[in-house]
Amino acid sequence: MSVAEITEIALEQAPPTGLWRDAFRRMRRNPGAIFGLFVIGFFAFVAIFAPLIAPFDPRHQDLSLIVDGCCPGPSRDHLLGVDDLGRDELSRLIYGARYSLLIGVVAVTVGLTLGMFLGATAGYFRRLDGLIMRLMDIMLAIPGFLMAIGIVALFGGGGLLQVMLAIGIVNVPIFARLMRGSILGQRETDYVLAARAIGVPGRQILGSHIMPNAISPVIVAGTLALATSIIDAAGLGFLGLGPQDPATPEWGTMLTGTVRYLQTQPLLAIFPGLAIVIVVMGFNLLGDGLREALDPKLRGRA
Amino acid sequence: MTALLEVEDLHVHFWTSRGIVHAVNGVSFSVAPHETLGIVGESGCGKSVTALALMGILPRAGRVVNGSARLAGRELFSLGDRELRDIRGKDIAMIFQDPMTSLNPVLTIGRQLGEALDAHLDLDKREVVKRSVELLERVGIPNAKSRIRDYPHQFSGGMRQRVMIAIALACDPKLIIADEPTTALDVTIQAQILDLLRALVADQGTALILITHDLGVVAGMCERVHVMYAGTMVETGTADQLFAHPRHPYTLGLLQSVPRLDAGRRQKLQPIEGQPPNMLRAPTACPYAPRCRYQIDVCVRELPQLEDLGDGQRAACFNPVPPGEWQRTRLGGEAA
Amino acid sequence: MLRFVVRRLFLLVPILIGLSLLVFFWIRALPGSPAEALLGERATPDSIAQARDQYGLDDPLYVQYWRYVQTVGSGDLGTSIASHRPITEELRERFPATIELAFSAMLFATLIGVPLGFFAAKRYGGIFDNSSLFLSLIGVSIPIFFLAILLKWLFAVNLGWLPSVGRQDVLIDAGHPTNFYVLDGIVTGNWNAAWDAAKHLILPGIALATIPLAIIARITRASVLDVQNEDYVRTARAKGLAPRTVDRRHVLRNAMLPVTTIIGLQVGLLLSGAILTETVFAFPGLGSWLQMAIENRDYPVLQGGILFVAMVVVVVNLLVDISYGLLNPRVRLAGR
Repeated sequence: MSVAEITEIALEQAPPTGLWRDAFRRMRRNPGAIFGLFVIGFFAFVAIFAPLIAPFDPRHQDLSLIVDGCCPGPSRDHLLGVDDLGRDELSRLIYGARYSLLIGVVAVTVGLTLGMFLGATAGYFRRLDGLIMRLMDIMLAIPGFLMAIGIVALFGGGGLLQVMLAIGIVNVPIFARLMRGSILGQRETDYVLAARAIGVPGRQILGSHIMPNAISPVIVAGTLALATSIIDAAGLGFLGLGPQDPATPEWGTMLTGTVRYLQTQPLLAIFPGLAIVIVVMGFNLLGDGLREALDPKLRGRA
Repeated sequence: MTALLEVEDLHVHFWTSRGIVHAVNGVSFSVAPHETLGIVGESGCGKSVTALALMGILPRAGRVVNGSARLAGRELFSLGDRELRDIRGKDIAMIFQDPMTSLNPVLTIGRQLGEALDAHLDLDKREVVKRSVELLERVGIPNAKSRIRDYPHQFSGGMRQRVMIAIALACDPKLIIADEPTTALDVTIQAQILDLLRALVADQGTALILITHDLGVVAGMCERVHVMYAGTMVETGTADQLFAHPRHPYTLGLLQSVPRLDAGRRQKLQPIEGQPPNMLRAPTACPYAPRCRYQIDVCVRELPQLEDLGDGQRAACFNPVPPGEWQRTRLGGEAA
Repeated sequence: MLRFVVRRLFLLVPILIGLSLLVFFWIRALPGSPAEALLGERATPDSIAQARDQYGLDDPLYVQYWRYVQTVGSGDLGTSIASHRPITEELRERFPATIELAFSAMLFATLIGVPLGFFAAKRYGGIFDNSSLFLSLIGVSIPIFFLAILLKWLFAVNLGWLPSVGRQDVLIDAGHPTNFYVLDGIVTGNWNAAWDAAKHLILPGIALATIPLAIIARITRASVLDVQNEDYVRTARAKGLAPRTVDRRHVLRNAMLPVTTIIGLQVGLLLSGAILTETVFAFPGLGSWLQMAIENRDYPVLQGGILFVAMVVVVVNLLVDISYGLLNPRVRLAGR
């Protein structure tokens, strides 16, 4: 007898619960997921209340601070120092959170909505399935980041909106495939067959049986997609394809000029980079935690 | 006659995130050389765990916390890793339940047979192949010589189980433990496999412990039978004794719950009401009491031990079923 | 097996066609006319008119597409605006550099990632496992260019242990028959040059390898954990095999199947990571070439480069598919 069977028997006394309550309980016990949630919450808070939190205007240059060249480090006035144009690093970091959050959310929303729509269509309407999935395969053949570069070029070579749309489009095939796979997989499951056997109409099956089960992997994928979107956005910014105004405090763009000053002031590179790492880690932790929590196979095993 | 295997007061616990599962609580039995012993019980009663404990291959979370198991006098639980590995596969071999997943999909059958031989016998390559082919032929696989190069997915379920039997027999073990060998197979194949097992065991003089939840299997194959419930032995005896006059209420319940072909069309089925107990707590009273029709006061206060009821038939019960009860109810009377 | 390969090759065709169509329309969808895109920002109205004539940009689209396919098929990918050299020539210089880098990165990632994942799985829940999970997490959360910057700062700028830019020290005089610098050094007997080239590969290689390493370690760990609980591993242990043999022959061989698929899929990641890494280290490969093309709006290079990269990814995926088929007997023998 496997440990699973043994534990199953031991748990027969436990009260029945829904998938969400189970998942929530399991998440509560996962320190990584809690930490991730914390980080994301903090990040969102900083992004939303940036104007209230930042000590300085992120675009304001105080050239008097860099008369001796780049760049003075942390001081009492400027907790994280100033950059090569005399702008307060801390404020830039805080406002940078806005850009990353915005880009991430918009990109994933675009990718998710379009992707799910395409995937659901492909999954439910056989005739469109082949066409749609061929298109998705071709899109997946090109490495995501490179395709984002191509799309940004299509839209005129750089800019906030372009970056958001580009990364959004890159996300589409991932969600499309996920959705389609989920729907196709479920059409053959016993519970769908049972519902059909009783005479439940197709639309209701889709709504009450298939969709709720298909949602979980999408939530997980969405969270993880947020993580990669933020990294890709920073990458595009680093290559100069982000918001074109050089004064914009986007984390990736902030890193572009820092290579020059590595010898004199490495902190200029470290702070924005660290910010990206921590935020992305938060999303990854949350995504992993969600994946474990929502896995129906682990239900009842705590 | 000295027993081949003697198990005394075996306790096995599993450490899980919900607490300690008391899977086996004081099981004792013995197997004589050449004997076929049956262990019957429902899923979760601890029969498989007992087998795994004897072989020394419990999953990570499980541990033998008490008891002894002596194979030909040697105490298995005090042996080191290497010595255990020596015995495993050579003196005791095991056949598992699901032939579809019990073979490595990326190795040929020949390889998997061969490694069993290589592990314990000192044969050169050609002898290994020869013996492998012989073993396959013995378990009834046609074209053994060419089949030896095939992969598991090229065999049917019944064939795969035959291969498992061949692997078990490879080193001429003194004892084979078959854990639900036919549960995952079609009924017609079941009969074939059991026949094969019976023939081989008789041929080689191997002792066999047959673990199953199917009373029918036990009836045809075993001389002595043990009935397990919730990690304890509740009744033991010869197959004849148990099928003629079961004394433990659980055994009676098992027999009564089998649907009868000659029962009337509207005759209700007689399941055993209730659920098996929560194994997270060590048993302090009779584990079957909550479901027992014959329960008396002492049953919920003390743990019954196996008592001899005559002719070697033993039951762990404070209020055993009257000897004629089964015969009475099976012949059309109402269950008491 | 042959049928399997042929079938895969057939699937390749529509994907390649789709890719070429995609890139073809991409150039035409760019802001400004295709002529301007091909000639660059400094094009005069005269030269644009000339280009339209020369490239037949007024012809119907399907004619243009066909011409495009023919040109690409014959090996002409156009001319770079920035350098005025044929793109194929520049590719021949740049591609081996990136291959060397990507290959070293992949080797590093696999040689470290697989054992890391394996031992993490074996020591499940322990300190080693948790630390490796944490490191994996950081590995996938860190932007490549940031890691590259950090490595450069720490090891090149600060400690001066390793070079910070380029493929080879300018002071070293070396022949380049194959354009794979390390190989060149070995082939020409110039050990100094070979070692120097290798030193230049270390930092960008580590930066590039980090994400694949993290992914490979994670997948290996998950795969080993899954396989360890499989029935056939239990069978192997029941045969009395030594744990190391069980691990090697039964666990690893099956656990590596999904890992091999993943390894192939990393190629896309490596190539996009190359753009960022090579920029930081001024490494003269495909990546920095594409990055400069972006800056200079050198569209012919982008068109040819991205098409080339996409094709490489597709071909590599095909090779990975085939090798998976070789490793998995169920796929290999399909159709027998």
